[in-house]
Amino acid sequence: MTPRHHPLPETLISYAAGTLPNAVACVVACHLTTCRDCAENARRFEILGGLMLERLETASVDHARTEDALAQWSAERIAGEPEPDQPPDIERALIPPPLADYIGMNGGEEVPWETVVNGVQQYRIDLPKGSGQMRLLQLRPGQCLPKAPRATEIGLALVLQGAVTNKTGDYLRGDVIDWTEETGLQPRASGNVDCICLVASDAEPAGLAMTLHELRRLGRKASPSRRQLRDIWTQSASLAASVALLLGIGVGWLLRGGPETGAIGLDNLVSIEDGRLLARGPLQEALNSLPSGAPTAAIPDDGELRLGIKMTFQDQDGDYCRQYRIAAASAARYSGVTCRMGEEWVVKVQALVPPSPSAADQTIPAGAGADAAMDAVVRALIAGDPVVGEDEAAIMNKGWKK
Amino acid sequence: MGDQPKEISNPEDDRVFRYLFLTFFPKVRAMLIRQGAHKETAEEIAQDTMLAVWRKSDQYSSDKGTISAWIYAIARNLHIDRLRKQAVWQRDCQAFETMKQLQNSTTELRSWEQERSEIERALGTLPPEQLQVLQLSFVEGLSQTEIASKLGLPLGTVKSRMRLAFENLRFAGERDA
Repeated sequence: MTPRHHPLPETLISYAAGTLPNAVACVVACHLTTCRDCAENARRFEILGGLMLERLETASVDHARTEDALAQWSAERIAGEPEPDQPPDIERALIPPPLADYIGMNGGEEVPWETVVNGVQQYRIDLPKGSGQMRLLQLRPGQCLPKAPRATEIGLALVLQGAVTNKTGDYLRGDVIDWTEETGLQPRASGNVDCICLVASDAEPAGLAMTLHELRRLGRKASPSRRQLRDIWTQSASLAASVALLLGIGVGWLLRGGPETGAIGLDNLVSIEDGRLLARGPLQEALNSLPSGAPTAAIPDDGELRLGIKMTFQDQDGDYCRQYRIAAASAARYSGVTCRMGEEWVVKVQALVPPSPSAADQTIPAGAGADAAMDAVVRALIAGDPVVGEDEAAIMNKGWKK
Repeated sequence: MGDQPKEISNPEDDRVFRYLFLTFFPKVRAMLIRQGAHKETAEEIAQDTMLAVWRKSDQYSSDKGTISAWIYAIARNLHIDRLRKQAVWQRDCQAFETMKQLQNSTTELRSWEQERSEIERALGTLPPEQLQVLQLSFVEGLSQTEIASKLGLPLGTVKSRMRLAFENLRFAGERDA
């Protein structure tokens, strides 16, 4: 079948010039295996590249270098090992040759899918640093992609199986959706079979996403400096403005001893292990068993702290996450997001909310200060809808296992 | 450049390789330096480009494309592999091979030399701002975002200039016909 949707002209030009983000170039290369028009255009622009190479003004090569090169050529000739290119086997498998060769799946191997949310699976493809992001996505019929990947300059999606509908049109096998941050990508599987797409974008984490990415990265390191975290957080200035102090993974419970904390025993709520900040004690218990929106639970020991869960959701890795709040008798309030990793709740972000008159009554008002910042964090992490009611209870009963 | 050899697979003919080396080695080296390679690295990759021309010489013939396009593609791929240390998805001859397989038996592949002549003519009539973005892409190796930054233009302007250049070059042959 001849594809009907193609990469945009500027995308093909950049592909031929070798300047596309590496992940995006892979999608174009895969598309070219089934699209004669685009293959012809790409070759046309390689001819253009060759012409521009011919036109470069350069100094001549010295005689000695020429003779050296020819001598090397002679040696190669004696070795006699020409390297013939094998033409791609176009009608082969689900995954086109350029990618199949890279991920070692050119023999019809099963794709090692991981579940993102119900009806959506992904296989993230590891690429060298700076290559952008690339993944295979599988959508059940009727299923939408819960959260569009980011693409600041360019993103491409290639349909490998089934059919999808995007706001830009209907797409079948071999078709390419060329999208940017402005045009967006929100495909829905529109056929009767699972839809599989290869999705790539140039986006390295930026803005808030950079913050979270860096926090994760630092979380894998032991004891990043407070300055590092401050620098990262200030990249997201609008959020930082609403938060008096933000703490990330692995730096310890820096709230302790702060001006508003008084004698609160926050040490009991977390511990640092392997560079990760883990929920402990009453916080861990509340995260394990307190439904979203339930009346806040007082910490049994002294009743000075009250804990509440605002929301439960799955992130793009399919991990369960919970947004929580802590209120103290001293009027200090905190808001945070934690995600379930194995048997642990790993604190992703924790913020101290500036004191407000309404905090004094030990209720936990929503909406302002760090809550707004945390809402933004949730929006950056969440895949699909919040998990509520019976679904949340069922997951809780299963011990938060994916 | 119009008298480039049609075939380069005769291993007994040093004159062909000498011609190609003298012609293209300095150009590939200069292009790579413009694309940010250190002089020594550029020389090394340029040398390897020309060696690849030798190793793959039995695969080349003028009906597969122009020699300069082929050498450009080899250099581009080595640049991606060696300098950026990223995956190379494009085969040196991939576009051609794919086209050959997709070829409808009732149609003929166009002559690449004819195509080259048409593109060369079209380049001469391309508005300067369109030519500029092509040069920055193919010679300087800049991405669309980098071009926008260098020229102080919105990214959308760079994209639209590329799109116009695409149309001008794509239909050059049809206009000439």
